[in-house]
Amino acid sequence: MRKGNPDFMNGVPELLILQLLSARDMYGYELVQSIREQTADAIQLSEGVVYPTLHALEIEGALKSKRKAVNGRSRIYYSITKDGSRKLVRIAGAWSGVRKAVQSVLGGTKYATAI
Amino acid sequence: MPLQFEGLRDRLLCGGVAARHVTRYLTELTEHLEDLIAEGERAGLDREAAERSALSRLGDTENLAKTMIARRELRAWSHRSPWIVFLLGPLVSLVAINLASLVLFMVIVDYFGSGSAHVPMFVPSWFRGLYAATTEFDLFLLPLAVGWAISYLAVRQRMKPLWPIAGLVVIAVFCGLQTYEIQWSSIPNGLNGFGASWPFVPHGSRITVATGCRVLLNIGLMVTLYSLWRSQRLRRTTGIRQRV
Repeated sequence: MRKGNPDFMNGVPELLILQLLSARDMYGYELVQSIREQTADAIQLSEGVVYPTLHALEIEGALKSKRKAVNGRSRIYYSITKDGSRKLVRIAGAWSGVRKAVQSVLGGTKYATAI
Repeated sequence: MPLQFEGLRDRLLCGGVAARHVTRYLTELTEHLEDLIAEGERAGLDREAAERSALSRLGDTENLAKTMIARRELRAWSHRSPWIVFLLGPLVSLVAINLASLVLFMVIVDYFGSGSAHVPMFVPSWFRGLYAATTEFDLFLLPLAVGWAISYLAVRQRMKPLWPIAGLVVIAVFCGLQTYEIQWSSIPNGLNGFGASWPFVPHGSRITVATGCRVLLNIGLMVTLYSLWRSQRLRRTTGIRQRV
């Protein structure tokens, strides 16, 4: 069984999903695979997290879904909406801020230890 | 659909996830499973081993259910606000249908009725039949239809019986005690009175043996049908759990 990610991952599934869908429409399996590949398995979002997140983002209006037949198989594809693009900019900015803040604390600790 | 997903369906519905999200989630998971199996087969596994590996990668029922259940926006209204779905909603619907019936009678009498300053109001002969059919529908069939809708929602969402039974009893009492009245004016061109009445409203109708029997019949029918339906669903769910 796949291991889940820790609690500090809150909000990360939304960010990754919106970012990937901003490039092209995808279905659930493709998203899970893309996240694994692009993060070199560092982030393994389970199906039990990806699909509820997709449904919630769709309710929110950030995504829309459409059933499409590709290579003889029918799948539910998700695409990002204008609201979704705005949300992506917002949470990517917030994530960037958090990353810098955490980095500065980690850097500060390192510096203090060195002294 | 794999048997494990049938167990997941019950877990999600019992956890309060709306049925439409459950159906969609299970469809997506089934398609996802097929993709994982195909991936396993491409990696050289036989079908059976690929299936085992795919199911293991997806994780157990609890793992697949917990995020769906935790997300409030995916919850059914029947779990978020059962008093709206099983009490207020049906009552408002019944009142609206009663009002629509009364408006229909008024429009028909106003449009087809004839009368003058010297002759009292006459209505078409078919009005009596229409009036009887509409009131019989509202008093006898409508509570059963609403009761069926309540039972369907409750059984589909795997609700505990408290709210559905409360809703069924309230509907049975509301419709059972209701009476329709028309007061024809004896004065030429006078105003006719149309109304629905209940014993619990000021100057309302009285409880009679007939209305009392109607209430008991409604309660008996609706609660029995709901209980049978629910126990059938419980037996099916238990069977699935045992097989999983």
